[in-house]
Amino acid sequence: MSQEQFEAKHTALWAEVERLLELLEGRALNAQEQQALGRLSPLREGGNHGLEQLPALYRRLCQHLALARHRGLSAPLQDRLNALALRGQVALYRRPGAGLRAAAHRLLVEVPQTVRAEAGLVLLAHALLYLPAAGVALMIWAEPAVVYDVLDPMQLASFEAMYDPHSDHYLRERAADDDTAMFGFYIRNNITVAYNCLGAGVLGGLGSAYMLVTNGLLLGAVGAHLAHVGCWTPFSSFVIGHGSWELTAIVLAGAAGLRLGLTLLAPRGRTRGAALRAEARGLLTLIYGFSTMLLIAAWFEAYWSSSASIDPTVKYAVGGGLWVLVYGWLLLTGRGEVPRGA
Amino acid sequence: MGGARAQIGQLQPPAPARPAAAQARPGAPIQRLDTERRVEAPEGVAVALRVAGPFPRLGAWLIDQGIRISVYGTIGGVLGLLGSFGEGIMSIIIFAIEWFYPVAFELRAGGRTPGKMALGLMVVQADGTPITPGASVLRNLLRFADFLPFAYLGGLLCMLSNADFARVGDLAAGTLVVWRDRPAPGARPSSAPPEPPPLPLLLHEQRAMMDFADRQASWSEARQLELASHLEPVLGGPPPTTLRRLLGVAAWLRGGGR
Repeated sequence: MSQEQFEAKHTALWAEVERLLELLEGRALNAQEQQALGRLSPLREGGNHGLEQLPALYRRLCQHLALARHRGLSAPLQDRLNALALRGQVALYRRPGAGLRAAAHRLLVEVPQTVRAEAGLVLLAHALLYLPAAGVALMIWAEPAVVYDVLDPMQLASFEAMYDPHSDHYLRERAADDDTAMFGFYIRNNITVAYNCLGAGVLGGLGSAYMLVTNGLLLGAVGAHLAHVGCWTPFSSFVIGHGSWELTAIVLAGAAGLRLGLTLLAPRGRTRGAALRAEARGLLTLIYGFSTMLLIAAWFEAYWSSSASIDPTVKYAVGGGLWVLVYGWLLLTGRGEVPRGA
Repeated sequence: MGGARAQIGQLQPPAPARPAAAQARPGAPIQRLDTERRVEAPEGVAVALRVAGPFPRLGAWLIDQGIRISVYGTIGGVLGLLGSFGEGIMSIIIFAIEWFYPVAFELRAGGRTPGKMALGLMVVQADGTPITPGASVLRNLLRFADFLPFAYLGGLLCMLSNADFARVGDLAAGTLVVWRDRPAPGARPSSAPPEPPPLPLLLHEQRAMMDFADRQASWSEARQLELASHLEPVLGGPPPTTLRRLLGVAAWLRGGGR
């Protein structure tokens, strides 16, 4: 059969497939249409526009594509059939619902499992963040002037203004749009810190360690100084709520950065590219985990932590609960579950 | 077919240098510099996916961003009349749109945001099946990683470092951004009177001739003649005659006159 005969014979079928695809694309299926597509034998019903024919027609079209390839028919014809086959595949092989379960599985099983698999580095990242924080806090507690070695006076003044109960800025009840503006700001800021922790890991992990230590110093210095000048309650009640998500997210980002650096530094007999590819899945799971945590943290930071109308006691209680929740999630969930694709 | 090769050899004694690809032994792998990627469909046919590069994707993103900004402007204008309550609603709407605009369109509209629709792109799983909700959430959550350090530089570097133009989010979610349709093919082949080829042709030689006929209308006449002149030893010259006979052979191969 020549190409012209082939085209003449089947062009009506291809046009029909294209018409049905146009009908299906760009929207979700209603129940009746889903049923029509799932039928093995064509059942004529009103309102389906012949959708029940699509699977059969699509298979014919795929056969025509295979024939066109095998016979070396012209490129435009092959491309046209290929485009229809691809669109048909996308229209017909939808998997409703399963994906959301996969997203939940990733969050509730894979993220905690990966964190536990990297327990050593995660512990190290905790130490790199919190030990400098505790150290500098102790030093400032003993000798308050040390704070000026860590922070410059301008920065310090702005922190004081933020948490000073007598200042104009102190935790006023903001309008909702301010909260939201802050939400956007916090997300960007936190994400930048976390991704810097991760990306700096390219330098053999040293960059991540540096980022963790400097953030730890900042945290410890600000906390200790504010305690010293009498703003401990506003500061701690502000930080405790979202800190559970945010600080832990930064720790995980740092751990991921350390893993990245170690992989590049010691690829263990693989090429560095192969080592990275092998570690990619774990790294991406960590990234997914801490990105989600940062989203949650930003929400709490903007809408909860900064609200002046909530009593500090409530904030401490809820904040404490959140810390338990975060570590309970990372330490306990997903034990004994088989990772997907394993 | 071996006979046919020998015949070509005899017909063109001072054989002009043929391109390397044409000289390759049958079955020898040809290194292709192409963005095409083939996946096996359950119907037993390999469907070709043509992955889209950074530039069309930038165009799609700009369109989407423009739409988002104008939506904020419109909603903001209306809700602004409601005072602080309106601002609260507005903040929630902005949050929802910022995060779920791509996800919603990718899941409801066959992997296409309006920007991708305008450029003829769509997102699919790497095996050519529709994008799953989990993958869509993941690839859009990781936009941050692609955005850093600024203006999607990280994503661009990532796209340039792998064959599928996948940004970090695509790598994590196992997705590809592909062309949904090829741009419409050019003019139909010329209406040259069909004539049989002077010697039996291999499949890829037939294919090359038919491709030439399909595309010749988009080239200048000088370029057509230049390309056709490579076949002078086989079809006879001068170049205008070669071109006319080449188009004739292509029409014959397509089935004209039979």
